[in-house]
Amino acid sequence: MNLRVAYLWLLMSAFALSSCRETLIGVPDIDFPPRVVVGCFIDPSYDTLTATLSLSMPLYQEGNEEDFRGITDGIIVLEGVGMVDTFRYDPVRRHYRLPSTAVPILPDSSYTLRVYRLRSDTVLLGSARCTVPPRRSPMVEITAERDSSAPTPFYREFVNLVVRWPSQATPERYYRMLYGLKQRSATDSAISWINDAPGKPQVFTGTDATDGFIRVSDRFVFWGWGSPTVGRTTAIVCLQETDVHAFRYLNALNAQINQPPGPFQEGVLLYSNIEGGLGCFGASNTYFIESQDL
Amino acid sequence: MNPLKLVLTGTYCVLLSISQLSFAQNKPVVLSGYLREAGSRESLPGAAVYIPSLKQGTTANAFGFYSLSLPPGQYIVQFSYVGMASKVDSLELTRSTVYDVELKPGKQLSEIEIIGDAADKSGAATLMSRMELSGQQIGAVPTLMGEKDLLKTVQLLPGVQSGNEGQSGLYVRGGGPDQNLILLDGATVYNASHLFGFFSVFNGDAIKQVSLTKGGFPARYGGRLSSVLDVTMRDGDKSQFRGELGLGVISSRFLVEGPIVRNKMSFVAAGRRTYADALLLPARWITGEDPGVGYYFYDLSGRIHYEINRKNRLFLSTYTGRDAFASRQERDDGTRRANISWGNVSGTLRWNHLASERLFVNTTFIYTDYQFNTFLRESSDARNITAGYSSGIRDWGIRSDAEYLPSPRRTVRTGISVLRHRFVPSAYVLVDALVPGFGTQRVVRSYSVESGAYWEEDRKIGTRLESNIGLRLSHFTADGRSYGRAEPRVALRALLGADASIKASWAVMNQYLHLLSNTGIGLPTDLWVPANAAVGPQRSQQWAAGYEQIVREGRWVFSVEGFYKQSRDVIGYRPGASFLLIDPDELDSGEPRSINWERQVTQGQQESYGAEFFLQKKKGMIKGWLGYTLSRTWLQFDELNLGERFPARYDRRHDLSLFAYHERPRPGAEGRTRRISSAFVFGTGNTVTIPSGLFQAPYPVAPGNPNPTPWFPVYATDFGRLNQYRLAPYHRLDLSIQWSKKKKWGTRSWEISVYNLYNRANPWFIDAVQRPNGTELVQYSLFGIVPALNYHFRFR
Repeated sequence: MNLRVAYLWLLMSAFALSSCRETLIGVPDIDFPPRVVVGCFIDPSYDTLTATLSLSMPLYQEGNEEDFRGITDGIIVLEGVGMVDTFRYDPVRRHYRLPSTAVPILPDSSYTLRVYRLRSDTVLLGSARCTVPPRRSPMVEITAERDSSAPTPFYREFVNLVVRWPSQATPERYYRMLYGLKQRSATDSAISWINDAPGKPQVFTGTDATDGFIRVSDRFVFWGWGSPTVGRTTAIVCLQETDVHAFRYLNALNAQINQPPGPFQEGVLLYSNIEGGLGCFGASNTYFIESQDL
Repeated sequence: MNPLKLVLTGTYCVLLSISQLSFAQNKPVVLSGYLREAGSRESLPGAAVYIPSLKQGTTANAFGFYSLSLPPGQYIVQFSYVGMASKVDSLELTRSTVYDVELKPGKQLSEIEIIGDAADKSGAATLMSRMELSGQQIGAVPTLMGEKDLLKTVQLLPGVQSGNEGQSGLYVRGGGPDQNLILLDGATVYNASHLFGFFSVFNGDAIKQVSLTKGGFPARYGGRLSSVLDVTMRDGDKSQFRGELGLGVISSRFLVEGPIVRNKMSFVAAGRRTYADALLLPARWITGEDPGVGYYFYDLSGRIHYEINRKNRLFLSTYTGRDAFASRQERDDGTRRANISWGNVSGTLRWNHLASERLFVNTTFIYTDYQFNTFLRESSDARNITAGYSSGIRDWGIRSDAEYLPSPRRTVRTGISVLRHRFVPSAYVLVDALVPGFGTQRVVRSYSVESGAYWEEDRKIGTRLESNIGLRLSHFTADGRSYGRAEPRVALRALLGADASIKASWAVMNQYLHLLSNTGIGLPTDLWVPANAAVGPQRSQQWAAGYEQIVREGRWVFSVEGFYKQSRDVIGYRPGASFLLIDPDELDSGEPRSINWERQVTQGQQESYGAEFFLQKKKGMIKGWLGYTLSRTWLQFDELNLGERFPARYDRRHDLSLFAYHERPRPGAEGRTRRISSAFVFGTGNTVTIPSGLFQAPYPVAPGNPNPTPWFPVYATDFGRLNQYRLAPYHRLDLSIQWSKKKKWGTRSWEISVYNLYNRANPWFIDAVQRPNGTELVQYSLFGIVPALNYHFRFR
């Protein structure tokens, strides 16, 4: 191979390797209109039912910022157990509210939610149905213990928590579980939920059960100023048996929050049972279980 | 004895006995033998044997063996193979005769044309949706960086689509890469990609023949839903030593072959290695700094062929290939080293036995292993941690196939196979040498047995109708759960005159292995797992019908095929699925939680349909083909896309490929040839899921909260529907020019190739990017124009 050919070979190699590049090209805008977003979760333990109504904000076009934050002139109607009533908008809290006495939420009962908006005419924006799961009183077992603590001025303690409850996969059951600490003072008690933040594991199905039990374990830290209130703190578990709609919605929401970034990752669609829109109309039954003093 | 084994063995014996009985009623003579290439004695699978006076013929099997039953008499027999000079002999057949034939490479165009004519008329098979590629065709296709690539060539065939830019994955008639059975001399290749899918593991120099079956599967094949890619390596030259050396932009390769015992035993060995790591050395010398990263891949393949005697032959084939990535970081507090490696090892031992002049038996012992390993070591004063994670699949197996040829009108094939799979979905070790007692390791293993028995028969009915009817019984056991299923196969062919035929087929397939893939781009973390009680096997049915026309004495061949494929229980991934199988958040705990893959997948339906048009020019100065596919692929999962059906990611309505090459001696230059090749591809853009909006997601408040805020505290993304947006069309033109010259010691070739000649910015992926004035969708492209220069020398 003579020198000229060798030089050509090197030149071509360098050119070939350097030509692997990245280019940016604008993609034409796409027409994705705003979608109505409805949220309402009903549970026999709620004193007041809440509902939310808004529009999604298109990513590639102009949208109405006001509607994105919440629609204030909507009409949300709840119907069930032979009763019908309309939620009232609370401008301070920015959502709609309805006393549970207006439409009692009962286990094993079905409810329908309809959402309208007044324009020149009354427009049905969306509707959904759900059924409250039956009351079952699951046998929840809690094992909670304190671990090492850090020196003052602020205290830091670990809690090892194991929760398990029996479940069966067929027919499928769905759960949402929150856990936290209930700290009491002489005049008050407050619950600090550990896993109510976005993306934390909260929902389970009967197929998560091993040997007939769904088992959740965690080790978390809590801290504060001064010294811990020994003997006045308990671990508390809120177990909600949900319907399939609430489960799928919350599961997808968690998955979307936990989705690792990456160009080849498939987008996580949020489940919705709202006909004509986004969001969820779901139901649950709530059980509280408290451990002995830590 | 296991009832299944009893049934299989009984079926095998009974079928052969029936065939023997039917033969005993006739008393023809048998003409049989091997067809080989003169000189190298390389067998010629698919070579044609044709008797014009009877208008009957046959083709050699995968090992070059042929057998014809004829009435006694004097015959003119024509032996031919594409690319070789035909041989015409006059034979007096008064009794069964063994007649081995050696064909010489065609020296003149006219000779090649004669061969092709005979082969096209006598050798056309009943099977449809089957395509074959030769090493010559693979070598002629211009490719990325000049790396001859089998899978990239297969992607140019109709009905086969590539995945993402530059990827070697195959999407056949709407099926995913997991639904292709890739065999290298009978051993399954579980990961056919190097360098994250940009190159295939097959070294083109060592390949003799490739066949792709997309539908109308004969009963001898099973285990995958969409296609079978059967790759056969060269036997090796039995008469003289030869060698090849290739220097490319990113890798170099070699091939040596020759006799071990002249005309009895031969070998071929081929290898390839990249030198991206070596190219970094000058940077280290100049800057004095260690770049800290390195990557290479290599593959080695070899085959030994031993003709023990005329009735017994052995083939030992091996393959090993590996990708390795390493990084090293020197930090103030210590050193951190990480290695990732993955690769295949396979070996097959084949025994060809000629039990009689009509009965050919091939028995194969199979071993294949795919491993993915990661290793991390962090050394500092505070800790000395070693962490490793690995996964893989290993097979041991045996299969035996018998081919019985009682008459020219009938061929019976039957066989059994048993494969034992060992899966290691996850194995990890975690040790801190500075903390006594801190360490954990766990290996999750599972075993399964996949077995099958088949019977198929090629039969000519009258003068115009031919059939291939078969039945495959498949059985799979894993985790205490067994599946046994019957897979009927039917293929029919009717001749419409001398040069035209219509074909139809129906095939049922089952797939007992699932591929868990995080991204669909062929990463080594992709994991094979067995079907079990929670996630059952996938199943498909495919109907196809087609028309084939030979034009101008076999110079052109045109075919069109329509297909409809329906698959059940295909797997999809639940939102947010991850298949690392160990919870990464818990690695520090010393006992990380295993993640069950079964809970992260869901099963649904797939529907694919379309039409494939294929126009092939087989003779003349310019050869090549034009392929066009019009198709759709839909998926439906109860748990995905709100239960509504949606287009598959690689649903491609239009897919077109044009490949042509021109090769001729350079006028006035003795021993010099020039070959110009080009390939053009066009495909409808892939579908993707893109964000369409943001919204405040409703959220059930924690009970007991006196001031509930029923909104999710961060904005959620509205993705609309799955795969509702389609990327821009993909198209590209590649070109290569090769100059060859005969030298004293062999032939040297220079090749300049250009990938993506007109520098098309094809979509690789798109992303929603936040800009000051809003969100924009941005398309990213990977390869622009990529020229490359390759040098190749073939020693005589």
